[in-house]
Amino acid sequence: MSLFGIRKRIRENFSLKVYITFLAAIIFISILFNLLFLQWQIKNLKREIIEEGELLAQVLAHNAALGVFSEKEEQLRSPMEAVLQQQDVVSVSIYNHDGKLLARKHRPGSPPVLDQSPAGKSPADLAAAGSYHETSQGFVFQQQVRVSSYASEEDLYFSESPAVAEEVVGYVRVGMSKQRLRAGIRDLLLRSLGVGFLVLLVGALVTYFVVREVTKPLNRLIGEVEKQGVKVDSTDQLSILSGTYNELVAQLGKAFDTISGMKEDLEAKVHDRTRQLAIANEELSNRQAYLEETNRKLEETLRELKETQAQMVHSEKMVALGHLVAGVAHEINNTTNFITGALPPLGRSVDELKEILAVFEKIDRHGTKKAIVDQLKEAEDLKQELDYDRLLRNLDVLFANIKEGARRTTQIVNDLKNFARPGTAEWKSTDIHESIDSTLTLLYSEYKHQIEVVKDYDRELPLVPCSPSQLNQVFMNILLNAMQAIRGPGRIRIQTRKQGKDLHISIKDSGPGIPEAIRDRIFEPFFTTKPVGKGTGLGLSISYGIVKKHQGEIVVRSEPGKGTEFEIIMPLEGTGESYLAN
Amino acid sequence: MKKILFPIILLLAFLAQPAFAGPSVVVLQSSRLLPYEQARQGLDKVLADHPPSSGAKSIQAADTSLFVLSEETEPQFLKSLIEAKHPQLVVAIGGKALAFAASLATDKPIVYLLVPDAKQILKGRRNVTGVEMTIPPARQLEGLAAVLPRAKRIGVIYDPEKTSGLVAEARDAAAKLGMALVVEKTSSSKEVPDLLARLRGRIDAFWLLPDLTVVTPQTLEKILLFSVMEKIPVLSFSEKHLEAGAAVAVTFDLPAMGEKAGELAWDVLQGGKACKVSAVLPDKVKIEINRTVLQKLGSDYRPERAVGEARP
Ligand SMILES: Nc1ncnc2c1ncn2[C@@H]1O[C@H](COP(=O)(O)OP(=O)(O)O)[C@@H](O)[C@H]1O
Ligand SMILES: [Mg+2]
Repeated sequence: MSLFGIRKRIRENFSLKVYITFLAAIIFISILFNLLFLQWQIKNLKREIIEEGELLAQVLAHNAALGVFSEKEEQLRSPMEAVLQQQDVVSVSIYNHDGKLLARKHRPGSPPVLDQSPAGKSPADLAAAGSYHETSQGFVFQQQVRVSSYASEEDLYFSESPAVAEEVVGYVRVGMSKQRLRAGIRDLLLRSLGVGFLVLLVGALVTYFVVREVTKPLNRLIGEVEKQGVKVDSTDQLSILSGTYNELVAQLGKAFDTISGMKEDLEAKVHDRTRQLAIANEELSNRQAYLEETNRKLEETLRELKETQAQMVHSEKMVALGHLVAGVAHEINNTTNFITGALPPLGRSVDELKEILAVFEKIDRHGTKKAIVDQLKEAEDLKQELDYDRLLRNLDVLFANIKEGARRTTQIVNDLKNFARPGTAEWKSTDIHESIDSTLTLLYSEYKHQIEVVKDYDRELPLVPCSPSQLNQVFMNILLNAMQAIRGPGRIRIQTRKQGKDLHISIKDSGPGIPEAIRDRIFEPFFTTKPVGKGTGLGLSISYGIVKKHQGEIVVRSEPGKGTEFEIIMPLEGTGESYLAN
Repeated sequence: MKKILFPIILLLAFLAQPAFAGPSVVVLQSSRLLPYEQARQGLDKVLADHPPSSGAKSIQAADTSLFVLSEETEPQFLKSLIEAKHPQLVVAIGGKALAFAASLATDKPIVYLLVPDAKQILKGRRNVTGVEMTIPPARQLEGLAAVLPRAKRIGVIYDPEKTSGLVAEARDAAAKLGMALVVEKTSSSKEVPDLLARLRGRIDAFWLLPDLTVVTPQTLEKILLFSVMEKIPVLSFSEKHLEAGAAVAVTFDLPAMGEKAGELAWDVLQGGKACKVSAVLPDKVKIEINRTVLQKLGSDYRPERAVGEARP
C-alpha cells in the first residue's frame, strides 16, 4: 500500500481517525504535563541550592564575625575552609565594612569564578540588594557580618535572648557553581522522557481498546444501513453517516419550524378562545343575573300564589261551612221542634192534673165521712170527665218526644264536634265509619228528601291512623259533589273494604257522570262547572292533596248518564310521616 | 476616657486601703523573668511576716502591691497609680524597675535588688538602699577552688574601664587562696580571640568576669571554644553559661537575696531613712557545675562541693 493509500484510508476510516486524534491528544497532554513538572522540579532544585548557599553564607558570617571585626586573616582561615569544603562551593571571599577584601579562597582545580562583583557595585550594595545573585556560571551569596554586645550588665546575668546592640563589621561572599543544578536537570530530563514514553505506550493501548469498544455501535449502525440496501463503501463510512445525520438534522429543523408555526397558530387560537370565553362568561353572568331576577320574581309570585291559595282554601271552607251551618241549623230546628211542639200539650195536661189535684186538696180529712165520700165522688167524676188515663198516656208521649229532641240535639252537636275538631293537624287512630256518619249527619238537610244513602260498611275494619278532621273534609267534599250532581231522586252508596294492607272507601252516586272531556281536569284547582257562589273548583284538588298526604290516592270511575264512583285507597298502617312533615 | 478612668481608679485605690493595715509597700519588678520571680518569692516571705525585731511600731504584716513593668503599657498612668497609693516604701527588682522607682515623685525610701549597676541608675538619689549584685571575688575563687582544687593559675581578660576594681579585689583573694591571676587587659571585644591565644598554656582555668566589653555573644562562643580546644575549664558568674559550655558557676542564691531585701525593707520601715541602712552584699552563693564538661575536659574535680548541676 502506497503512502497515499494510507493517508486516504486514514481520512476515510472513522475508527482510525478517532484513534489518531486521541493519541495526538495524549501525546500533547503528556508533553505539556512533563514540561510543567520539569519546570517545577527545576525550580525546586534551584531553590534548594539557593537555600543551601544562603545558609552557608550565614554560617560563614557568623563564624567569621570576630575575625572580620579584628581583621585578622588567620582567624578567617578556618571558617573559610569549612565552607569551601561544601559541595559546589568554588570560592569564598570576605570584605570589611568599607568593602576592602580581607581574604579570598578558591577551590583548587575549579575555575576561579564568581568572586568578582558586578561592575561598579560594592559588596555593601549587593548585600543590601538581596542575599544572592545568579550569573551564567553560578550563584553568588552575600551576607552581612555582624557583631553584637549586651546592652547592660544585668543582661549579662539574666536575659535569655539578650537585648543586643548589633553592628555591621563586614561582608562575606560565597560562590557556588551550577554543576549540581545542571546534573540535576539532566537527570530530571532523562527521567521525564522515560515516564513520557511509558505514558504514551499505555495511553496508546488503552485508547486502542476504548476506541474499539466505542466504535462497535457505529459498526452496527453501518451494518443496519447496509441491510436497508444502501451500499456502504467500507472506506467511506463516515460520509454516509454524516449524510444521514445531516438529513436528520434538516428534518429536525423542519419539524421544529412546523412546531413553532403550530405554536404561533395555537397561541392565536388560544387568544381567540380566551376572548370568546370571556364574552361567553360575561353573557353567562348576565344570564345568571337575569335568572336570579327571574327566580326572585318567581319566588315573589309563588309567595303571592300561596297567599291566594290560602285565601281560596279559606273560601272553600267557608262554602263547606255554609252548607254545614245550613244543615246544622235545620237539624237543630227539627229536633227543637220535638221539644217546642210538645210544650203546649204538656202545659194543658199539667193544668188538668192541677185541677184534679186541687179537688183532692179540698177534701177535709177531719170532716164527716159522708162529706169525705162526697168530695171523693166529686173528684172521681172530674177524673172521669178529664179522662185521667189518657192524660197520663199523653204525658208519657210528650216526655218521650222531649227526650228524643234532646237526644237528637246532643247527637248533632257531637257530630259537629267530630267534624271540626280543635287541633286539625292531629294524627290518631280513627273509626272511619264514625267519621263518615258524622259527615252524613251534617249533610242530612242536603240529601234527606230525595236521595237514599246506602251504607255498605266492612264491620271488621280496624281503626285507621289518620288525621280525622282532614279526612272528614275529603268525605264532605266528595259526598257534597255527589249530592249536588244528583238532581232529583237518586242514590248514594258508600262502601268500605279492607284489601290487603289497604283501605278502600268507595262513594258511588247515581248522578249524570263526568263528561269525558273534563275528566282529566276535575282535580285541577279552580276547575269548576258550577255557577259562582256554588263552587270554587278547589274541593277535589284539596281532597287529592289530603289523600296524597295519607300516602293514598283517589281513583275516579265515571260512566256518563249512569253515575260516578270516587274510590279512596290508602294504607291501613300509615305512618303520617309525609303528613306531619308539612 | 483615661481622664475619667484615672480619678475612679484613684478613688478605688483609697477605698481599697484597709483601716488598720500594716505599712503599705509597692513592689516594682522589671519583668517576669525567672530570676526576678525567684527573688520576689524570698522577699514576699519576709514582708508577709511580722517585723523581725521586737518593739515595732506596727506589728501588722506589710500590705504589698506588685507591679510588673513589662506588663504595663502606660508608664505615666502607672506612676500616678503608685503615687496615689502613698507607699511607705518601694521595692525595685531589676534595673528597669529601679530606674522607674527613682523617677517617681516621692522621696519615700527605695530598696532595690538584682541591680548590678545601681549607682549609675540612681545618679545621686537619696534614701535608697538595696542588696548589691556582686559576689565578692573571694567567694567566687573559693567556689572554684572547692570544685577544682588543682587550678592555681587563673586567666582573666578584663576592660580596666569596667572591672578594674573587681580585678584588684580578686588579686588579693587569689593570693590568700594560694592562686595566681594571669591577667590580660583589653578595650575592645575584637581583641578577645588574640588575648585568649596569648593565654594558651599559661593558665589552669579561665575566669569569666561580668565585663560588658569582654562578654559578647561572639566572644563567649570563642571563649567556650577555647575552653574545649585547650582543655581549660571556665568559671562563670551566671549559671546560664553552664549549658553553653562553662564548667563551674558561682552565682547568687536568689530567694536568699530576696529575703535579704525583705529584711532591709523592715529595717527601713521601722528605722525611717534608708541612708542609715547601708546596702548589703548577698551572703549566700550557689556553686553549680556542668559535670559533662568537666569530664570531657579531663579535670580532676570534686562534684560533692557543688550545690547544683546544670542539665547536660
Ligand atoms: N259526583 C260527581 N258527578 C259529576 N260531576 C262531578 C262530580 N264530582 C265532581 N264533579 C265535577 O267536578 C268539578 C270539580 O268539583 P270540585 O273540585 O269539588 O269543585 P266544585 O264542587 O266547587 O265545582 C265539579 O264542578 C263537577 O263538574
Ligand atoms: Mg266540590
